[in-house]
Amino acid sequence: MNSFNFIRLLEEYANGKSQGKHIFLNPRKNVSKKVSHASLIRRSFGFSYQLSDAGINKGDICYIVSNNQETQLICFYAAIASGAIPMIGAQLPRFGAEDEVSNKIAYWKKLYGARLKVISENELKTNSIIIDNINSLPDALQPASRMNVKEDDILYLQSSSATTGSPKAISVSHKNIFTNIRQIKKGLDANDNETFVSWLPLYHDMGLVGAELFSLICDYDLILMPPYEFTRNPEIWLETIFSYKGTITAIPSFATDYVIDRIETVSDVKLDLSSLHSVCIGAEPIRMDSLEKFYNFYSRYGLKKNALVPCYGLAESTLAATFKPSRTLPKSLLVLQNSIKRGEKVELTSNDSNNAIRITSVGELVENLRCDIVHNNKVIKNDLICGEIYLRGPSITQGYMHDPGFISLLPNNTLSTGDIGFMYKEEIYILDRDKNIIIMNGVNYIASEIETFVAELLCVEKRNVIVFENQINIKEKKIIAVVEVRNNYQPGDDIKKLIEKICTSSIVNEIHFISRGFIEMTSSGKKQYFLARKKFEIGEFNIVNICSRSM
Amino acid sequence: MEAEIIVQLIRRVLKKNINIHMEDKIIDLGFSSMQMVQLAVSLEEHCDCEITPDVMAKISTVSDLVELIS
Repeated sequence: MNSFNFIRLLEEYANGKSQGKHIFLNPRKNVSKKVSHASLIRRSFGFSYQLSDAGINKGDICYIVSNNQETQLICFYAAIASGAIPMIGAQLPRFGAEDEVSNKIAYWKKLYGARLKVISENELKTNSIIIDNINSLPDALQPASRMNVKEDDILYLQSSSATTGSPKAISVSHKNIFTNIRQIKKGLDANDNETFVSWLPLYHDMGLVGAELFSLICDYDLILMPPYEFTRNPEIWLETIFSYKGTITAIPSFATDYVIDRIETVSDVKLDLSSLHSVCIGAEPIRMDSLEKFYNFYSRYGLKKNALVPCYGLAESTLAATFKPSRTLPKSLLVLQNSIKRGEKVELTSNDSNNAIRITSVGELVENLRCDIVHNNKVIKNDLICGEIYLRGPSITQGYMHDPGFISLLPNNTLSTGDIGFMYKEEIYILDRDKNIIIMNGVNYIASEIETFVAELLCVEKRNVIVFENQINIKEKKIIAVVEVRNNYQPGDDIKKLIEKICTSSIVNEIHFISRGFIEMTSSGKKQYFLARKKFEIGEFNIVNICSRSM
Repeated sequence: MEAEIIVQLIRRVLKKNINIHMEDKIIDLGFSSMQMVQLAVSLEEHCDCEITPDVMAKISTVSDLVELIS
């Protein structure tokens, strides 16, 4: 891991300097396919010659369209070996997703023109290079393209999840990836012999960097199952950890609740989760009560509390920026809601009242990463002062690739994360994304906290609630809660009382009940606030009923 | 017959009694991502077949679903 040359690592693996393997699972067919890292890379090198023959040139961008994880990885490494820059396309398991894929390809084609080359398993509505039988690909010990790699050369592109706008392609260099993998290894106190179990999609940075590249570069065994199978039956993830004695796994925050909701009623599960030392939990705000609920259920199966690892990261920082210190318990702080103001100190409280919210620590910075809390362009040095989180260090990527060969650089190599938080005793506490913080009468409110409050009172899923400011007329600013319900929904007297409670005990002015399916999520499951506000402004929500304080 | 089954399955997953036409696009019926997967699971249980994400991707309308289980 000392040199910043990913191609050299692949060459070494192809030539036998690797012990690790992938195991690709198909739980429904009860099939597991063992593939050594060496074999995977040799076939990728073999395919890289086919890519070169098909007209892939150095610097081209290879957009990979496949639902098969082994195919995605072969295409990814083959593109690198042919001198191109790969990007794994997001494909959600949705009816009609073929149209979504076509739209995404059209979007990237508009940006990159003829430099965008699509690799897929099937004929798409666009010209693409077909990869048909991954098992019969020829082996090769050398990549098709011989390259003089520099550490800042772009290795691959990571599509952002588009929480705050159109997707952007983040350029990750050889140096970025090796640096961040070393940081992750140290942050998790991982040894040289770990087993990673993952269901995370490879188009997401948590799946690609956190599971795949971490396991490959550290030469660990990686057990991969399709994300779709986790959605169908999350129990399979835990059974796989048990079967393979997994030591590390990673999940987005929503997954703890999802797992508990789906399988809490199952009492006769045969599991042993004591092999796990790290369940990395991130990608969204982390709720301590969700962690507690998950732990309280799975502790009976040997899950250790100190194995729950809240963490924080962004694709712009390659992946990981913080981890809970290893072998410690997850921490949280109770803070007074009305003390959350940018540039001011949050007040801690021991009284778990309505005005208190619990914020979970995402841990300490990974090595060599610097964090500044910034307010009004000034760096705040003291603990507990709220501001935007800025990150600097060698894992911070160079920026976004808008055109082939052109990267919009991050100013001063500093990443303004858009996340609001504070430091306390060397650990970082994230409040929310900048754009999801609602400022009312000078007080900052966290949209996701209000969503939880509304969802719990109305007994609906939190994913069916979104809270934002109505910005049609600034003078008459209102806080709107939008709740997805069935089409013929009519709130009864009991619900009207609850709505009255919501509108009097929170900052919500109006609750709009809308048809299901209108709250849009990113490919990683984050709510698209900007899109919700826009839909609200132009009247695109199918409103079933509106309730307000004055109803 | 199959059309009626599909309509019932969709209504059950959506938990609403909406009007459904054969030419309706499934994505326009108001499914969340999780409900899409639930519908696929319900269909699999009903027709004893495997509905992979690749199969899902190609199915666009209610009529396509009917054809799938026919």
